[in-house]
Amino acid sequence: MATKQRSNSAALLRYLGVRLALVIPTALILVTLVFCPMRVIGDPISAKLGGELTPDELVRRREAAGYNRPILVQYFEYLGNVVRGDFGIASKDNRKILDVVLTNGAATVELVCWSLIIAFLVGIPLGRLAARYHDRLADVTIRFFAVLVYAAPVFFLGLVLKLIFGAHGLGVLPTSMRVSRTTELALADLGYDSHFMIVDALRSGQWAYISDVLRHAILPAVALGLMEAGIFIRLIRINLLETLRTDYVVAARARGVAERRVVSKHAFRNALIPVVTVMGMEIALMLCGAILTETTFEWPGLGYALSQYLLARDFVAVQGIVTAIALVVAVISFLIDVINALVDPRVRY
Amino acid sequence: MNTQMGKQMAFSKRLTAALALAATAGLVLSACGGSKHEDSSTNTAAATDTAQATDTAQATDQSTETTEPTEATLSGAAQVLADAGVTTPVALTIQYNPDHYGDASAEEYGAIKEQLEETGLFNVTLNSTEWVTYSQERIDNYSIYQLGWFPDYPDADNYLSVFFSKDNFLGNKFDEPTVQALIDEQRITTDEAARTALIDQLQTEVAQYLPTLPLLQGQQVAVIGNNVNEPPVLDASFQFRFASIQKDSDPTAVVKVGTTDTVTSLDPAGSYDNGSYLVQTNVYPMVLSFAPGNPVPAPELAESCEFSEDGATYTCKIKDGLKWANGNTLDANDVKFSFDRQLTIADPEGPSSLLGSLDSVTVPDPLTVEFHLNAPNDVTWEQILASPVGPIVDDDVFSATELTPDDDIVAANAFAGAYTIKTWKINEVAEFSPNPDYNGVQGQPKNGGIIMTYYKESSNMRLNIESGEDDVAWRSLTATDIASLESSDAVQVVYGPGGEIRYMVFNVETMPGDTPEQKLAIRQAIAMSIDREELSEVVYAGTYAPLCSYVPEGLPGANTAVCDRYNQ
Repeated sequence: MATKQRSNSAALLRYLGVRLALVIPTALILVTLVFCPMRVIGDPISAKLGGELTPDELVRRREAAGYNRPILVQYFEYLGNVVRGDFGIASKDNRKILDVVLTNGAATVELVCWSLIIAFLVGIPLGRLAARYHDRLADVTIRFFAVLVYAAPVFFLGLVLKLIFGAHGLGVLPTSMRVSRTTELALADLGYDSHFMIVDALRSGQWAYISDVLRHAILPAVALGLMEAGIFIRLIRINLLETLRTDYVVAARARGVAERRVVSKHAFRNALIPVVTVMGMEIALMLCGAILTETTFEWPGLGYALSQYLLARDFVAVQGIVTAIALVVAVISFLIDVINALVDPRVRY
Repeated sequence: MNTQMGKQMAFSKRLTAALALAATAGLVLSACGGSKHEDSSTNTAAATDTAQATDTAQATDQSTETTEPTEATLSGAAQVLADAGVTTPVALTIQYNPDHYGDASAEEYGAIKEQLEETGLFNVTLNSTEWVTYSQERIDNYSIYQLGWFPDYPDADNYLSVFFSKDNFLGNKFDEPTVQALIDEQRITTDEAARTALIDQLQTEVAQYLPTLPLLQGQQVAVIGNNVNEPPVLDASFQFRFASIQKDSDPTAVVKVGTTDTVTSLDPAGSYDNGSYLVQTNVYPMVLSFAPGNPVPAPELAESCEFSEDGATYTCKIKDGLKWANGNTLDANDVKFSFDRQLTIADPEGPSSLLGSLDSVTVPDPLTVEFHLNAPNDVTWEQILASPVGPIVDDDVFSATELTPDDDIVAANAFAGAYTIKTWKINEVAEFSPNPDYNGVQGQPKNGGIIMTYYKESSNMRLNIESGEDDVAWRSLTATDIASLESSDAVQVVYGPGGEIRYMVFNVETMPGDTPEQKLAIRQAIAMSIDREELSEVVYAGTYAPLCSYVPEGLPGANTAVCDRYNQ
């Protein structure tokens, strides 16, 4: 028995070791995939000054910036810097990329968190409701809603929300930024600069600041969260339906347990397991969705920064941000594999 | 400056020019066909040309006798092409860029295509290319293409020498010795009236060759909330100064400004763009700068400046007792340091190329700085001192050999302009506080500070000016938004002369046409066929005005040479 346990532990460790080792080539491939095309589609100097300088002056400036060096030299130099933790400095605005990743990354994390809350608040109850009223009007309506919010492009949903709640519509909610400028500057004056607005607002203890942060978060979180809610609704519904057909649930019903209790106590918890597994990948997908949401709502996250640097053909910045995102996704994937391996022994073999 | 142009000029009317052009064509073609150095009557006004040429084209009489749009006007454009032996319709491929010069570029060039094809003389193919590719390919691959320009300094020279000198940045192979001679002469003509006459003559000369076709002139547009009692002064210096803005008639009220411009760097050696320059003009002093309402550089750090007798040295006396906001001494050494580091760093994204005429800077004493110039009496030098290369920086804070990070500049409070920077989150938000020690040409700030918000989407900026979240919306709202806001009760739209121009570039060697004469005839026929007023009103809702020559209206030397010659 003890031998079998040791064997299982060794298998688990071996599996996790291989999985961890795979993070490195995964990140390397992603960095390379970003590096090469960025060199083909133009440089930041042409992007900014191409309409104003003589051809000779443009060439001189590109040379001065080192963009004419062999691509392999630039590639290995970049890799070396990344290994040393130096992601470089953006030429568009002279910001350190590490600083961009940390400050804008915090904004993205905050947006993703708000969105997950919306996704859970909308997705879980509706998924349960749909399963409970399987193939009835409520189920059909909820399924239609789920398809609609999942299929609607995030930026489209964002624009619709802005039109309804912004200055041109009801005028009740702010439609851009993470917080009003006066609040942001007031928090900075107080010395709160964690880059997580809600944390800073809570630390200040001022309800006006907290409500300002929450009001700014509503529309972006709903735009991004509803997309995820659509997925959660379908996932929970299908898993709950499957669970409700299992023997132990049938037995519970046979014992006379009320249907509401059957769903909430016996079926729902088990139906959540696949949702938790999928969530990891969904967070990665949300990072992509956040790019569009951030641009629509001027939310200064990584996606917002990435779009600006891309337009400016800022190699260094785009490489750095994509590398950071790639590393985050790779790490999240690894953690999911760890969780999966721990809860489901089959994946180790 | 509101555009008051009507829409009365119908299609056929814009061709009224045709016969006049047919008359001038003879003169121009002869000038182009071998007598480039000829000091011909082409330098005189278009009306004179028309009169002189009446015997060269029979159709001319018809044109000068009637200003009504007639079939004859159309035949005039055809006549120009026919005289040069050009077979019509001429196939033109025009390249434009849909993202760098505003969203309306596609509509603008769609309208141009329509106008040209309406004449029956052209078949136009429009191609669009994303900006980075566009900027790299334009010189070698495009024969007719769109460009725009915002000046480095508000002087006629910046609309002429960079465009029409040999080896200009357009790379369009235009090389006319008579034009070059006039460019060189105006740069060293110190008598204002004589220089203006030269600039006028220069534009008339260029208009006959049409290496570029001026189309539209931008206006400065700011949208202000009704609580703003002192709007920004928008003058021909094209600078946006915070100091003149006030809201609620309260000199302590903080004004919130929005913009879609972006900042590259607070360091003047590392930026060459509108967004960075806007901040720099408000936080750094200059030797010379622009007082509100006056586009002529005036002493700021300097008490006085003058050229030496031989014109090769420009000497400035610096005011005594000046300090940086951090308490450091501000004197001539800072001035020398600032220009020396521009040349030393020569950052790829910096403005050091504007200092081509500067040989060296010396400081005989802490209150005197001497600029030694490569060419004597360079009248553009004063403009250059007040241009993006001119902000003076603190030699105790900035690096002499490399760019200084924004955070270091802000932390060191290295400012001596009308404002200091209290909070700096680049391209997100900036908070500016009035500098009580400032006594420069902008005057003491009329507000208690500025909060600047940087937007990516102009639609969000529009929403926030309408909702009252912002007090002022600066560059750039779309023409549609501005037109819409004009009728809003919540805001007011303020206009000022704009330095931005939109124009079409012709590569005089690769454009359609078998001979130089044919190419010129095609350029001229295009010039006759385009209706700027329609572009201004229909595409840009009046936010861009017709540009009838090379130097835009509002600057000394502006004229209407192109419209006059092509009778538009």
